[in-house]
Amino acid sequence: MLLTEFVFKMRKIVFLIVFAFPGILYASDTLVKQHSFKWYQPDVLKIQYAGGIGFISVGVGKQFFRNRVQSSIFYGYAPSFKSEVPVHTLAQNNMFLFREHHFNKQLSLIPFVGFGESITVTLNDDKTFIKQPRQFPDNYYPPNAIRIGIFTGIILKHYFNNSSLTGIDFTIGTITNDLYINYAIKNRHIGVQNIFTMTAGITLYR
Amino acid sequence: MNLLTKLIPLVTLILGFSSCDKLVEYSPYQASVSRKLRNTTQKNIDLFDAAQLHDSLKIAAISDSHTDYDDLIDAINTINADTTVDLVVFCGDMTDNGILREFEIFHRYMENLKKPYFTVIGNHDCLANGTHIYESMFGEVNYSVRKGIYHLVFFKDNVWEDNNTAPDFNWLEKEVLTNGTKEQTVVFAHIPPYTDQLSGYFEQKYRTTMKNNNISLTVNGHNHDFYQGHYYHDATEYLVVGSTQHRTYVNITLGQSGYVINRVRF
Repeated sequence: MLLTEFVFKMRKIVFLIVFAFPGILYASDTLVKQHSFKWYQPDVLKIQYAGGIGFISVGVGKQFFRNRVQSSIFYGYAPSFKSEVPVHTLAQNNMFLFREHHFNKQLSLIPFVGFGESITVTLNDDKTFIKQPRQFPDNYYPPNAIRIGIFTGIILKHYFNNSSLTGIDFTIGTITNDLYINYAIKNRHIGVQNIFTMTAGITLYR
Repeated sequence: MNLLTKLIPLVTLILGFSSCDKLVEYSPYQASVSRKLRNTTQKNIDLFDAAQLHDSLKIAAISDSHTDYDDLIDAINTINADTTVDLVVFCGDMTDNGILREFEIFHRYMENLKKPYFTVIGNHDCLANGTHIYESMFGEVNYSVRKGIYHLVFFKDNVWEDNNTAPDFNWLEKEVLTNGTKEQTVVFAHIPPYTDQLSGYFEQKYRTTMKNNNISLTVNGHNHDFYQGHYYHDATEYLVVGSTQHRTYVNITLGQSGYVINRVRF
């Protein structure tokens, strides 16, 4: 079964798991430690370039499990001078950080993998939707405003001493989404090299 | 430095920078068509104008490739091997989701055709920002091409994706009005009038426009299965070319006073 068909048929379960993931993280992490900030106070502030959720996107997030997991929400915007038609996106992503390699006390390198989901509004009537508009028969189209992305990359992190910020990082990554993976699965002429694009960002740590 | 710390940056750079399509993407739903992919219909009109026709016009009509690109490539290769084909017409649904990446991949493969090609927009192509992308990449959604006695009309006839807005039947009626000329007019539209989106008033409008203007052949896609027949028992023959996903397309040979249809399996 093709990936998109599988996701479509299992969409309620998939979306429930994916959207509930940050909550699950917070609840399970709370069992093992006391958070330094209240649940609604972010640990990180992010600015991202590209990555399928906007020309520029800004996000806030929290860190879990001794800073090995970051879960963030973003608002991304692709303006008309970049997209011809403005595109607004809300996204949530989850990064899993591997072991940190320290160059010295202040500088380290951290590889990561992750997944996320996004909801896009294209301001074009009923053409991008989560719930199918009424003019269509049942299940004529799957919801086309939701994408699930996977990504990997590397963080170059600088730690601060004596500052209200504990650190700043530069992140570079590569990302794809469920649609593009599906193209690669079902077409021998489309390979992995055709479906990934680059993204870069900066994160400020409290 | 552990293995993952070495491996992941390497994988990131290889996957990201080896991308054949684009280095960065702002959104799958972005509608920014690159300059070299624009105005494709006009470029093909220029090619078609320059082409030499003999006693007939042989059109290879393909449809509904969606995102099954391997099948589309095989259809293109089969058409290219037939040196008697003069023109290729794609009858809609070149995408699944109307997103830029799908249009770009379709365009990339269709560029391999050795003959000019024209397209009609399909219902899937109108999703998301698809209509905007189609107009940037190809041109007008309703247009026609004349060469000699042949008059090819390309018509957008989907309804639901435009929030139940009627197809532009006024444009179609003016376009197919023969005024007593001996043109051979063929109408290409994605959705056959007797199926889902058009049933009812729009179906009657389509049917009567064909009948009243003595259109002998209208060519559609959408249903994925081949069909040929006088559906309304009138003078107009309705042809559904079938999806390339079903490994089939149709050759239509227009002569001086009639046409011949041959189904091709590949």
